[in-house]
Amino acid sequence: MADHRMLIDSLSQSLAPIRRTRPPVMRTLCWVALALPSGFLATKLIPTFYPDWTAPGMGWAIAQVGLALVLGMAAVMLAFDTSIPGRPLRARSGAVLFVAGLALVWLAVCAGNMLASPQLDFNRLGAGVYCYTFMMLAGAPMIVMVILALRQTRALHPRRTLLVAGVGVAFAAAGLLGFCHPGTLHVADFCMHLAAGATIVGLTTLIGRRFVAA
Amino acid sequence: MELAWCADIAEHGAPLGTFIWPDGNVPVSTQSDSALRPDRQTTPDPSEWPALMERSQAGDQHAYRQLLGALVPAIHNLVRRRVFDDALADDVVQETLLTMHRVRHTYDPARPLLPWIAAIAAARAIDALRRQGRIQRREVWNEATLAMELDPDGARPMEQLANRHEVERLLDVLPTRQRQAVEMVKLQQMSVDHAAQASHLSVPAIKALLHRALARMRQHGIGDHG
Repeated sequence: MADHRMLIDSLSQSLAPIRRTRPPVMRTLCWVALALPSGFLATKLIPTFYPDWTAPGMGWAIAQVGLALVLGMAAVMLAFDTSIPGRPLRARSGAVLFVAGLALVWLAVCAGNMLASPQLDFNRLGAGVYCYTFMMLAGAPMIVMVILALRQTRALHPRRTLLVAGVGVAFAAAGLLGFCHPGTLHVADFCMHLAAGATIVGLTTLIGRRFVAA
Repeated sequence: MELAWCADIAEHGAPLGTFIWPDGNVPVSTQSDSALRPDRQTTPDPSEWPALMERSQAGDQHAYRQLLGALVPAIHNLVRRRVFDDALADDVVQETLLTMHRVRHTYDPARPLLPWIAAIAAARAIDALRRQGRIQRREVWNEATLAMELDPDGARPMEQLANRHEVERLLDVLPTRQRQAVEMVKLQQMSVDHAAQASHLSVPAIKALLHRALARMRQHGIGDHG
């Protein structure tokens, strides 16, 4: 075994007091408090649609928004928690199952909404482009903030952590979209929501890898 | 590895409260600790590691040095579960110590320290093995090629020696007169006329000898390169 004394001496010399990382719940609440308003403000770059919440069928939209926001927060909290060494994803199976289960419920609600909504011609040009743009604009500042938050702790498995964080951002963006979306949901529209979500997850993972690696 | 409390100036020649390594070397900078123990302090017990880490997070360099010194064997054992090469294992231990230093703020003293360290050691070990695998897949280790690249001129004497041996082997298969003809014309660069005069033969005779010599060498698997 080699002698590591020099390294130990050097590290000890450079030691300074540090502030311990806050619990994942606190970090998530701080992130939500900053990221959601920032995301919503970013969407002001495009014309905003305000739905009539009293219109019939808005129950689906309310359920989707609620589920999406809860999912977003849960996934981001999971990412913050598992970014800390010694807290692997596989040890958080309960949380993972909760997020996965909630995602399935969200999908079921979306499917129910689509079935209840009159369907447009799928080939209508531009179907879902507004929603895609909205989610990307809302997601942009949230991606930056989640990467900055993860940079504080770094991550031993950056890809995995950023994937989970990206899912959280995608659902949060979908939740914000629900505030500016009609109560009806069309297949083409929903496909673009999913495409925007996938883009957000991909961008979070690609951009954040360099900054978050431990 | 042990850190010894210096309790006797006469014995160690260092001020009271100074840490020394077992070989008598004093660390580059030491910090006196007001909670000096009168007895000699050896490697801290694993149950003390979380408390030492908490003190290190507060900036206690003495506790940090003590902790890292105690952790090295444990980290080494964790790394050797995955890395079997000694040199690579030492590199991974150093990488682990550096990573621990970078992310020391993420450790929660209410939790055990070993899972935190084990996770870091495992991640660094896997990274090192992946890096090694990439290098082995993309790089070819060929000593002769490497020597040529480092010192192209250095290989020439070896080439010349190899060629001379080859030429001698070629000439050994020839009868005396054919060998002389080849040596005069091909190696000494004499003209055919000159070689005929030197050997007291006619020019056609020299040409015949050369022709038969080259045919014989081809039979032994050697081509004529002029």
